[in-house]
Amino acid sequence: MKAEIRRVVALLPLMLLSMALLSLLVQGSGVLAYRSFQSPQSPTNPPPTVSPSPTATAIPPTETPTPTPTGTPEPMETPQPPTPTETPAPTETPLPSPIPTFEAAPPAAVASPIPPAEESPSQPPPSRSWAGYIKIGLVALAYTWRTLGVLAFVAFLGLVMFLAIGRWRR
Amino acid sequence: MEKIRFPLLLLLLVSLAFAIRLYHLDFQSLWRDEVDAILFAEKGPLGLLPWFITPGQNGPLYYLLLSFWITIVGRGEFGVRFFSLFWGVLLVPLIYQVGLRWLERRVALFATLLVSLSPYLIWYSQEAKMYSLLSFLSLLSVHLYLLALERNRWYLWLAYLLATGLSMYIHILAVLLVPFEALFYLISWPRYRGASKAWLMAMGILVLPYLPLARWEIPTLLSSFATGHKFYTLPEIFTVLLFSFGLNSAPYRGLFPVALVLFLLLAGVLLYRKEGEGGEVSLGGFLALLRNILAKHHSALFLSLYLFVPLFALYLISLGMPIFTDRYLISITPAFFLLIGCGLVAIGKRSRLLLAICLALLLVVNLSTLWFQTDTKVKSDFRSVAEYMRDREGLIVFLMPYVRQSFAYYYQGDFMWADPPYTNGGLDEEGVGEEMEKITAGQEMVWLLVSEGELWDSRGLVREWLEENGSLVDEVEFARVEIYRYSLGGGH
Repeated sequence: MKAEIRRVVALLPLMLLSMALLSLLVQGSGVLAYRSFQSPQSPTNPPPTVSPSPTATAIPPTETPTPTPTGTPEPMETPQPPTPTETPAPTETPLPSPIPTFEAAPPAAVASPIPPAEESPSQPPPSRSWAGYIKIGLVALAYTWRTLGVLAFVAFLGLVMFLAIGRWRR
Repeated sequence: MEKIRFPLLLLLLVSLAFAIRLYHLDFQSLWRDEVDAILFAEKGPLGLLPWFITPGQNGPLYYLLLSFWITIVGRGEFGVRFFSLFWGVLLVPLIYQVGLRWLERRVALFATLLVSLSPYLIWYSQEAKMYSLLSFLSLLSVHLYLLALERNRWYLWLAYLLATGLSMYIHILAVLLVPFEALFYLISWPRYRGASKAWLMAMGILVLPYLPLARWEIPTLLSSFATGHKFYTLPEIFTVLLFSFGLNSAPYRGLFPVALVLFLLLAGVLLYRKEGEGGEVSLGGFLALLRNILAKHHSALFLSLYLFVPLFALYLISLGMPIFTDRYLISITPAFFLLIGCGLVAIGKRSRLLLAICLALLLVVNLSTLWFQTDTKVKSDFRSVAEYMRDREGLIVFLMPYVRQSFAYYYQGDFMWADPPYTNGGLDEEGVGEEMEKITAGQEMVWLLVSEGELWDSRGLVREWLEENGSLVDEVEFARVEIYRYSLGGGH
């Protein structure tokens, strides 16, 4: 036991070095607030030049505008450069966005405090019939089947890779 | 017995990685980048092929592959994300093989375990973007490069060129691995001197797939193009990566788990030495001494270069054009986890008790983080928003407008929408009022959907106008989306 403790103590300088280095790294840099998944990418689409009239803009989802490459080259995930359009790109705002919603992200919708009178009533939970249960069962079966198939495929590829590279090694 | 035990252990880890990545694969709503990916992929091969030579297009190969994939599985969340899951799972046996081939079995096992349970890699295995494929392809490129250097066979060089060339069309920043690979060769030249000609030829050929990208990347880099990204210093980039790769979405941001990760990384760099690596230290001047040191710490050198050269290259680019985001460097995560694996082995050689403690702490951190990130709504929850908005009438104003695609993906029907004026460019209240008057003319009911709104209207002028000209009758909040309903009193 004493020998073990001695060996751990021998690593103490490295532990202290890690702590000291980390303290130096985080000191005043503000990186503790960084969130990797708060995607800092800006939209890739060019901003609309004119706000569309609401009466003429009912669109099917497939008509959602897709990016059109502009004359100014840029990587897809980087924000658009400011363009001299009527409505400038939203990407002039420094990114990433400092939205602190991650830690406090609500798990579900907060109930509306003022139920509007004219609002269409929310849908009642669908009643489960036998047909519904059978459908759920079939979907579950299909997913299970697909999952097993993919697992087998991944395992197979992994094994092939493992064996092939192992053979090269020898 | 060993011949069976290790493959079985690997299979177990691969299955574990698969199961964890599969769990709640479609729990998070698709966020706008993922919806974008689907919309791009839906352009089909013919629509996407020109993207390979179009300036500004990042990752056309990924969208092309995804377009084939979605013709088979459809555009559902589960199916689309499964494509990323596939590559994320395949990374597990690959990192084992790399660890086994170039380091040692214990390092390989530790790294495989850590990759299987890495919250960061799991996050991107569950995201319909190119990052899990990028990490796989990059590691494959490095592995093939080392094999080619060692054996100097034409088919290995060809495979390396293919993997590297393709990875550049998965993500433009995959090219950052090439400086690492080149530098590694130059430093370890005596070891691979037999492959000099092939190496030179390979580096030359590698320029070819990069040419279409270089045609627009280099002028962009030299221009005064503003990316909108924040500038990070080198220590900041390193710290962000420590947190991201080590913790990802951990519910706590304490320093202790990161200190543990840093400790293991340092142990990997400073204390780890592969069995039988290096020879006797000979005296013979500074160069000979340097060569001996390099030979003795060849593995640590390889991993350190793999980790730091792309990072440093990205920093250099950022000096001219800030571009840093942690996931752009996902290609160096294998080096990160292999170094931690080396650190664990180095610690284990000195104290088994400390190894057990470190490993247990790492697992606790990883599992608690995983539990958190797979059971908490993190991404903008447009699935719930669309469900809530179904059959409700009125004009929908999207703040910011780009989230409309995510809403449309889930809503799957017609809806009336309008884009609010962009105010971050300095538009004043009067201008906002005029624009808002125009878009809400004749409307009695307006829904304001706010998600990432500060990118469009950081001063909140749009909402302010609605507050002044209407009355708030409803307010609902979902993860990263707020909905406000205003009555405008029969038009105005």
